[in-house]
This record gives sequence, structure tokens and C-alpha cells, in this order.
Amino acid sequence: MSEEDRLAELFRIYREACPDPEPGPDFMPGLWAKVEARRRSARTLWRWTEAFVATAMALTLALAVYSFRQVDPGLHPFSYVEGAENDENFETFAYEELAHLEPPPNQELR
Amino acid sequence: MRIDPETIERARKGDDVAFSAIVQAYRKRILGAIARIIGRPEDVEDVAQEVFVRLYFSLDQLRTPEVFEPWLYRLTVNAAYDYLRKQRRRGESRMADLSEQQIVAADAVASRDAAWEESRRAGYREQVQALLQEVSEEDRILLILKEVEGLSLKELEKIYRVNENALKVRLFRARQRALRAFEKSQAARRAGTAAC
Repeated sequence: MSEEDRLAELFRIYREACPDPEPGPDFMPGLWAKVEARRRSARTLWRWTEAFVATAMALTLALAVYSFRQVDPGLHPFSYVEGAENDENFETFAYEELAHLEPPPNQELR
Repeated sequence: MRIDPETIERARKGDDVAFSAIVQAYRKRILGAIARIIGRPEDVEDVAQEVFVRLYFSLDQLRTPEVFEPWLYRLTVNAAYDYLRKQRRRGESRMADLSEQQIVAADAVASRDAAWEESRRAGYREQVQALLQEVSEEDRILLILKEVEGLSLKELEKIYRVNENALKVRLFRARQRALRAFEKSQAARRAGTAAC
């Protein structure tokens, strides 16, 4: 008999020497108690998650309302383009900028 | 299969009576497998209950009732791994306690014949458990499932989710390592006998 066969035989004898144990009388009640405990903790976790999400949503909404009210309507009553259109100095300013590009009158042109 | 697919299907839909029927059909087998894997009789029921609690909460993920048994074994192996990992963190020894309990159990047997039979069995148990202690946790569980629980390669494929060739290689290596440990223990035994 080779060592491998002896090992296989040993495992077979071990299987016979270790019969499946009988479950105790508290096995099923204990199992259902654990199932119920896990269900309860899952429900608690779910409730906490719901409460957290609801609070986060309420806070987001409150912040949005608050920041909307904080905007000063007099600060930016019109857009930049509208502002430029209404501003009389706007075009003058642009013209003055261009005027600087001309050479001074006392300098000779080559 | 120890249970009909209809019962599994009913349990999957949340029928607690069907779930109880599944537990009753498989609990002994699962208790046996766990006992052989973890080697601590006092914790076997706890781990088995954990397996069935996991089963209860994950039954809806089972695709077909045909793969139920390998799937239950997978849950068993995972729960056993988790238990062994926790034990390792606690730094407790397992087999040493077991041998003592076995000796106590053997001593408690009233009849002399029964005591002799029990001590013979305890001897085999100790020998195999000492042998399995010499290999890694992964090898030990694989060898127990294949050699002791008698699962087929097809079932093991489903449990480990690897193809047959990879599994054969793993099994071959695990067997080789166990064989080396066995040869070593045999040599030590022979040396012990010669010394006497």
C-alpha cells in the first residue's frame, strides 16, 4: 500500500470516526433569534439612513433658499452687455485706448 | 439534493416554513462539515447558525435551485474562514483543546468496549487533525471538502468558482503537502516506536 493510498484510507476512516453531530435543542430557536436580531438591526440601520437622507435634503433645501435670499438685487441688476450698452463712457474709453497708438506729434516718421 | 427545488423556491420568496425545512434537511451535514473544518465542538453550532442566517438573508440572490448545495457549502466555507480568522486574531490554539475534550469524552464512555472503540476513533481523529494542522487553512478546507465530505470536482468548481484544471492543480498540491506531512508523522511515529 503506497503512502498516498494510506492517506486516502486515513481520510476515509476519519470520516467514519467523525460522524455529523446532532444539533442541540436550542439550534432552531437560536437561529430564529439571530435572524430576528439581524432583521431588527437592518431595520434600525434603514431608519437611520432614511432619517439622514431626509435631514440632508432638508438642509440642502434650506441652504438653497437662504443663499437665494442673500443675493442683493441692486448689485447686479443687468448683465455685462446691458451695462456696456448703457454706459456712455464705454465707447470713449475704447477710443482713448486707440488714441495712444498714434505716435507723438513731435516725432518724425521715417 | 436533500430538498426539492419547489421548497427552495418558496424559501427564496420569503416562506419561513420552507426555510425551516431547508435548515432541518441540511443542518446535520453542515454541522459535520463545520466540526471537521474548525475543530472546536463548542463553537460548531454558532458557526452553523451563522451559515443559515447568511443563507436566510441571501437566498434571494440564488439564481436557480440547482446550484443550491454548492452555494450552501460556499457559505459554510466562508463562515468557517471568518471564524478561523477571528480565532487567529485572538491567538487561540484549536486542536490542542479538542484532543483534551476527546480524551475526556472517551473516558466518559461507560462500557469498556465502547471506550476502546471511542479511543480508537479518537486516535484517528487526532492523527488526521494533527496532519491537517500541518497544511495551510486553504489546503485543509479543500482536502476536507474533497476527501472527507466527499464533494465532487464539479461541486468544488461551483464552490470555489474556478475551472476544473485549476482546481485539480490546487487539489494535487494540497494532497502533496498533506502527504509530505503524513510521511513526516509516520517517520516520527516509527522513530518513537523504535526508541521504545
